[in-house]
Amino acid sequence: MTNAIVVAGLSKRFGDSVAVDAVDLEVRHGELFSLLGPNGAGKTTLMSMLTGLLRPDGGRATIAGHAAGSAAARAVLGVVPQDVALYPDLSARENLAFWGRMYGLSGDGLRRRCDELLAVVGLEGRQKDRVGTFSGGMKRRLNIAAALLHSPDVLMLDEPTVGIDPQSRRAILDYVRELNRAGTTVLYTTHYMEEAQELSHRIGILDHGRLIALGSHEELVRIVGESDVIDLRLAGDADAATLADAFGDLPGIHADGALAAAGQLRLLADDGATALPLLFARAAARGVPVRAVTITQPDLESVFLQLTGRALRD
Amino acid sequence: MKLLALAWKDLRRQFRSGLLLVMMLGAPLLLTGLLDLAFSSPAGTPEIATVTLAVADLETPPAGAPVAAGRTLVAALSTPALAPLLKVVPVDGADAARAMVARGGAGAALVIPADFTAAMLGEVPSASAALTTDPARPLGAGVAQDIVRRALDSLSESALAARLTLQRVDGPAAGSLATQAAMRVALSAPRGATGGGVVVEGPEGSSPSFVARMAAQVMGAMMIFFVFFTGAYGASSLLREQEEGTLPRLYTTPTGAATVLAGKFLGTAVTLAVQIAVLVSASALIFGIRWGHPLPALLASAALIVAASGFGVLLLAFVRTSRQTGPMFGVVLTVTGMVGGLMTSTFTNLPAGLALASRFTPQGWAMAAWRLCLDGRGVSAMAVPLAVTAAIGVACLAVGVPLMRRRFAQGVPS
Repeated sequence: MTNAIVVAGLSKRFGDSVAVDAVDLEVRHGELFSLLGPNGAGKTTLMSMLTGLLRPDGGRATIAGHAAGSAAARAVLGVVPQDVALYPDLSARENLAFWGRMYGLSGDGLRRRCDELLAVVGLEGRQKDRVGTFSGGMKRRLNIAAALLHSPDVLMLDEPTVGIDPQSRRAILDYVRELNRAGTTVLYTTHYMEEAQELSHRIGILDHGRLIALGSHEELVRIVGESDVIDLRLAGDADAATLADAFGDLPGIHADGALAAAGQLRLLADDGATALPLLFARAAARGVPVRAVTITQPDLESVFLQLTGRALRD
Repeated sequence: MKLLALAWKDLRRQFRSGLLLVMMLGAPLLLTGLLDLAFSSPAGTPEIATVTLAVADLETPPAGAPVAAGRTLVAALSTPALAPLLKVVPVDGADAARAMVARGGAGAALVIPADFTAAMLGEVPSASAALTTDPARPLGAGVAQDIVRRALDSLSESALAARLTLQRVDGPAAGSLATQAAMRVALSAPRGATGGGVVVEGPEGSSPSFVARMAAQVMGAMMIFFVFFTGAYGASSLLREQEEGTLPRLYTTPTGAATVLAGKFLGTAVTLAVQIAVLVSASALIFGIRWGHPLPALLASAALIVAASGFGVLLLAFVRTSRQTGPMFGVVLTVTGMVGGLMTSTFTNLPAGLALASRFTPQGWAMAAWRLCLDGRGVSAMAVPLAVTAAIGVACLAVGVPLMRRRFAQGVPS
């Protein structure tokens, strides 16, 4: 059985800047795959090449066995763009009917599908209202519904929860998971670690156009090893970077990959409980009071930190 | 199917925009209505100040001529029926007549040439009665020009009819006493000038007044002006859709770029057709404007649609963002509309240069076609302006569409 999405050596440059750098990727049928990366990592560019909006400079990609961008690929693909792409002066139903026609639906089938999706996204009561009058969350829900009219085999969502309220975000995540359970292959891009962690079977981490890690959440966390993540909150305007340097020779503490920000320091330690007294002592010796400390298990943020030396939200 | 869905979507969006509706339909009707109100009494009849016409009758009828045609013309213009509109003041010499206009003492001056009667009798090939009008008083000038032209037409027709009749009766050598007697009768009582005012027979026996004809010209000009705006606005919807993200989204569906662009063009064309149909119907109902015969009007509409759509597509090549469309379209369409004569459609004394300049704009050619249509002319008379209007539109499309494709369908498979 072929993979739902196959990406081989896909590349894209904009002038001197490499947006996507020879990415290889396979998404299995029925899988919910997240592409995680900070803003500017190349997620949207990669997505645009998969949907046919951008021509790659190199490499190739297929969707359900069809060349990405071909009419056959677009027929089995549902795309939820990052920004709401609906007609504000048409009603919710008119929008769905229009997008349905663009996917080749018509007549009773289209009407039925509009009814179903309006119910699913909770907009039956507002179906005759113009989209321009909707809240951000309602628009986002309808934005997703418009990509589902033709019951696509593969659904691509490009950061669908950016800038919306927690309630709508929760509704969208639940719905994406439900769609995937019903058999739809989902490619989900996000820069929210929690979303990728919660939703995905597998996660690809993208940075500067390169796929730097790929695997399930557990597999990715193992990259960090058995370490603990220690977050220190320092007093006032203490120089976190200088303090991180001062921790360099402490045993069991990986200060070289520490993340220092204003009054905050994150680092990895083989064992948090053993490391803490050493850290407090060194900080006190430097005259830097520690206001608070948190020890957590590694997460995707830690993985990204380990791999790039930067925070995911940098 | 997709093509129609795309066009229908655009049509619906356009007609849901209150601002656009005002621009498309409200503004042309309002401007014409204001003009109609300004020149009409509450009862609906025209109220125009009497125009003074200085007449210099220079004619010297040939010896033995049955009648002095110039005197007949002056008498026809001086009938009581025309008195509310025209006051004829005889003056000595052409210079005096023109000086009177220059001083503002008369709205127009008519100089009847020396060989006027000879021309009527067919003894000389032609003679020109010169009419000078005051450009500062376009309405009065128009009234005077209209009355004089129709009186002259009537006189010429009567003379010609008498000559032809007598040629049949007497043969080519119609110089007999009978001929002269018949000419006397004909030139003494030209039709129209003595029949109770200057009432002109239209294509279907209608009798539109001068104000009604002026309103028709203004309405035609305003329709063309705003149709070009709608055409440009329709083309710019591509830009707006690109910025709103709906155009890229369309390209993620199994709908080819060619279909999307064709749907856009069809949507704009249908919007323009609806705009023209509504304006023509509404102005006919409200102002009683007669738009001419159906086929010429249909062809003039089609040519206008092609020209306005094409010009809009071409203009789109020069704007980068939808924010630029307002100022850019406003300036270009207003200037080309003015040069095309849309703001001076009722002026009769425009400099020749302006008339020539109007031939370099699509609006000028469209106006030329509609002017003929409003005059009740047939397709053959309108052939040139119709063809040129449509050709300009096609040329604009030929340049604009490839640019549009390159810009709005880049990277997208057709």
